[in-house]
Amino acid sequence: MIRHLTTGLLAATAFTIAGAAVAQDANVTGTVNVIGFSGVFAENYETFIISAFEEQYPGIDVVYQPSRNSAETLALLTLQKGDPTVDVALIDVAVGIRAAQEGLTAALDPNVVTNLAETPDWARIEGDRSIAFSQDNLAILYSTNTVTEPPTSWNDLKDPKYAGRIAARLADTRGVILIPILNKMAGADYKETIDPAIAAMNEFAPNVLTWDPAPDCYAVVQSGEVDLSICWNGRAQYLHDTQDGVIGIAAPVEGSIGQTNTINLIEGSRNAEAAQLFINYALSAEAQATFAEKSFYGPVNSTVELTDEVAQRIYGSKEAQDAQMTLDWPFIATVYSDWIQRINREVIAFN
Amino acid sequence: MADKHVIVEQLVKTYPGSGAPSVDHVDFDLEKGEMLALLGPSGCGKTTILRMVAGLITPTSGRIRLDGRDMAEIPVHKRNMGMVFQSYALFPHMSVAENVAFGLEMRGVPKAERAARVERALDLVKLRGYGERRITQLSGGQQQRCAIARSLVIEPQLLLLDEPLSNLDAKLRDEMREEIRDIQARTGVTAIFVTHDQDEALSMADRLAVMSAGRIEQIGTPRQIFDRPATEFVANFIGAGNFLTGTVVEPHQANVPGLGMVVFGLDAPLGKDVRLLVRPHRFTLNGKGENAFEGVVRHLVYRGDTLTLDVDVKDRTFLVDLPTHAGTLPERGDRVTLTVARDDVTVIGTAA
Amino acid sequence: MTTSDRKGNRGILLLLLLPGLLALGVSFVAPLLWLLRASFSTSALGGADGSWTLANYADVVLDPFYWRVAGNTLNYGLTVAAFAVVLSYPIALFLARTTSRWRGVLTALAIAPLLTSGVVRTYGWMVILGDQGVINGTLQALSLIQTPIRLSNNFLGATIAMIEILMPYAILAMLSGFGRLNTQLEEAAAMLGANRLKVFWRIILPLSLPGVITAALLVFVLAISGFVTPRLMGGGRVFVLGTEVFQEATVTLNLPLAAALAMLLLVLFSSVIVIYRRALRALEA
Repeated sequence: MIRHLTTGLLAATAFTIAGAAVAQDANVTGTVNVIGFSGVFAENYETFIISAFEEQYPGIDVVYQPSRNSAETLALLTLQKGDPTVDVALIDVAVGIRAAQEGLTAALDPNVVTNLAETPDWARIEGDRSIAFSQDNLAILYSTNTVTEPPTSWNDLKDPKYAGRIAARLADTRGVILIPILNKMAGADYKETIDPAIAAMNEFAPNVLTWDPAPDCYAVVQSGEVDLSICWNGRAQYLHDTQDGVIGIAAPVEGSIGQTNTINLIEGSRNAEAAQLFINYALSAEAQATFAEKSFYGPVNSTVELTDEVAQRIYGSKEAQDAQMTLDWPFIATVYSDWIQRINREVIAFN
Repeated sequence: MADKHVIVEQLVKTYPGSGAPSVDHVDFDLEKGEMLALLGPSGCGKTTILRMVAGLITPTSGRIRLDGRDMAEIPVHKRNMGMVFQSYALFPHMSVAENVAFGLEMRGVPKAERAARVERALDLVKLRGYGERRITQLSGGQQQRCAIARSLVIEPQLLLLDEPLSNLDAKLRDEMREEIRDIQARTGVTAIFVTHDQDEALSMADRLAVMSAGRIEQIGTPRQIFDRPATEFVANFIGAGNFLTGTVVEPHQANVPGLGMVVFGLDAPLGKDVRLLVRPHRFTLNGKGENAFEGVVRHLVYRGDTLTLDVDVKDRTFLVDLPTHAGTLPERGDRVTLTVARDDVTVIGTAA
Repeated sequence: MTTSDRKGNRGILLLLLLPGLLALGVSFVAPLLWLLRASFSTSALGGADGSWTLANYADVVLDPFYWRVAGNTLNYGLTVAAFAVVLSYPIALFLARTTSRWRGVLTALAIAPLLTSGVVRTYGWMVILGDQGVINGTLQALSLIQTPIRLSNNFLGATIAMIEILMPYAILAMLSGFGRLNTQLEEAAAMLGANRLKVFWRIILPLSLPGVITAALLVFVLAISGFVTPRLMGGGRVFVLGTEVFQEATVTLNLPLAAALAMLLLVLFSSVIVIYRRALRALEA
């Protein structure tokens, strides 16, 4: 009883403190224009992040505008440089780094964006000009109709039984992420050489039916055109739940890396104050935990505690969870196109 | 009959879906070296006949024989006939000489001989030295000559000409008429040509077949056709005419109501109604004797070499063509007497 | 006609041309100039900066990979053009010569595929040529083959689909280029002793050649500039300039390099058009 009372009091106090902070910030009004990914991401983000934020900050209106891809977002931001209509952009980390370097994005104020304190160093990019907020793991999708024994390792891609049965779009971020994974399996450091990874790719290359699955890497599994597809976890989990479980997701024991999404305050934003409040919310443990549960994107906030079930669906087995890697994204940005070129020329082209 | 060069017997062409035949039981034949004109208004079937003879259209029934050989089973490219198309149908991607040589090439004539024969053919049509020209560099008349040379160089057993002069202007047309006639005479080729122009037919052909609605109305020499038209259609189609209807009351005399007695030279059965034809230029003015009709000049047109009059005689009007001369010519309102010799009054339908 | 009249007419003509010229200038010339400018500058965020450099061209010209891609593109364009023309020719010839009253309907039918986008038709071909596609499915059902024959996700598939997609263009180009065909010329040739084969070789073929060449050029140009079909049907293996431009522009975000590659493609076009004009002049001379 007393324990309960204490808990209640503590909770009440916490609420009061939080309430005071909210009350103070709640005076802020304005519109935050957010541009970001489209599709299911957009739906989830609007439903679980934006709505929750707007409830806490009735004076702020958040408008979400989906963009086809980060390159297009970047083009738009470049076009609007100096006089942006966009306040916050959600973009791929590679694009985020370039945008930050070009001064298209602004450094965040740690006093406003207090949740930066809970954000790990690797995620605070270019002096807080670009902040990683979620990660979508690279995984091997398999068709539950044709594959009886789900793959467990990246090495399974080399299994001759999958000859002509693999879809692998590697000439983009997927390939760039796979390189450090395969490199680590070979015991090499991606900052020194990627030859082992290229060699590993060439080992499973003969199994690949298409290097450019159409319409995308999920549909070819759903349709049975291939057995395995190297693809992103988040959307695959969603499709697994909504499309009769045809798509199975294997998170290899060697661990994986997430395609990292960043949140960025646009330089010259006319609603910078409201925008930073929104970013702070987006980086909060609450928002990240919710988004992880709803969309199976890995959280970045270090205080988020995921349930076993959610962790399993994002990262795979305990072993895989322990093997999960992060990348030095600014370094990756410098080698991004070179790596893609090497994959194109040494693995895919004319083979 | 069997020794005729070309024999066309009971030729019929009915196009599917059309009721009346386009060519309806047509017979004619040609002697070797003869030139026959198929004359008639457009749509009368004359071109269809020509194309059937050429083998470009298959007859519905009937026979076409060339030198005694039935053409039915012989495909176009083996008929050895020359054809001059209305549009000339010269091959635009070949030179004049190449056009002319084409038929020889198809016959496997050796190159040297081919060149010599092309040369001769171009000479014949007065196109010497034009061999290397492109077709587009030729005038209409030159294209015509080239087309003739091309069709003659293969020494065809029969030359077919489809409205060969219709694409030329009037002056060139007269020239080419002579030319074609001359070339035909010199080569001795048997020829059939199609035309809707009576002058062309009369001046070029040995014989004419006048056609109407798929049938041959009359076939004969230009003179026969002109002076002895077998039908009123023929009389009307070839030249102008004044038509009278009368009853034969005595040999060579018919009573034409409202005009009186008209004397004619031909035999006609007594008591029968006849249609009489007087060509406008067969009248003479103020002559004496039989067939004199008094009238008033109502209208006249001076045409240079002729004077065309409308002369009201009683309740009818005669069309009269008079040769002009330096003396006094009739004027409007003049009273005149028209006379016509009995031999110039034709009884329609008495032709052989 | 007096001189002032003629001047007036020219004024009206210019006035009539103005909207078209403006539209062309805005939608074609200006972007092309921008592209040209971009190809001489350094890659910057979302585009190109204002610097001047030949580095992009050096990258392209000195890289044997791009020569292979260019060679592959040429090969792709020529293969597609050759087959599209050969397959379209009989159809176009039939449509040009037929006197059937269904001619209009048949012509519409032949070019009706243009009503659906090339992307949609490419997906159609994926269904037909895929490992589980109609052809492999039928052959397997008939036990003629055990494992599927690779008909898509490679150069072959990209070529087959492109040929079919471009055939309506070839047919249209041929129909418009068959103006000199004329049945009377064929009849004249027959009268002169040419059998059907000779009529074809000596008359129909030479006279239809301008249409054939125009069609070949059009198909070639469309084929080498295409990237959707090579990408979708090529399984990522078909590297042509179109796909490379797309890759550089949207994945690697190196717009100036993409621009330089596009210029290379343009040079390829221009040289082909020069050859085409020469050929046409030679034919008509």
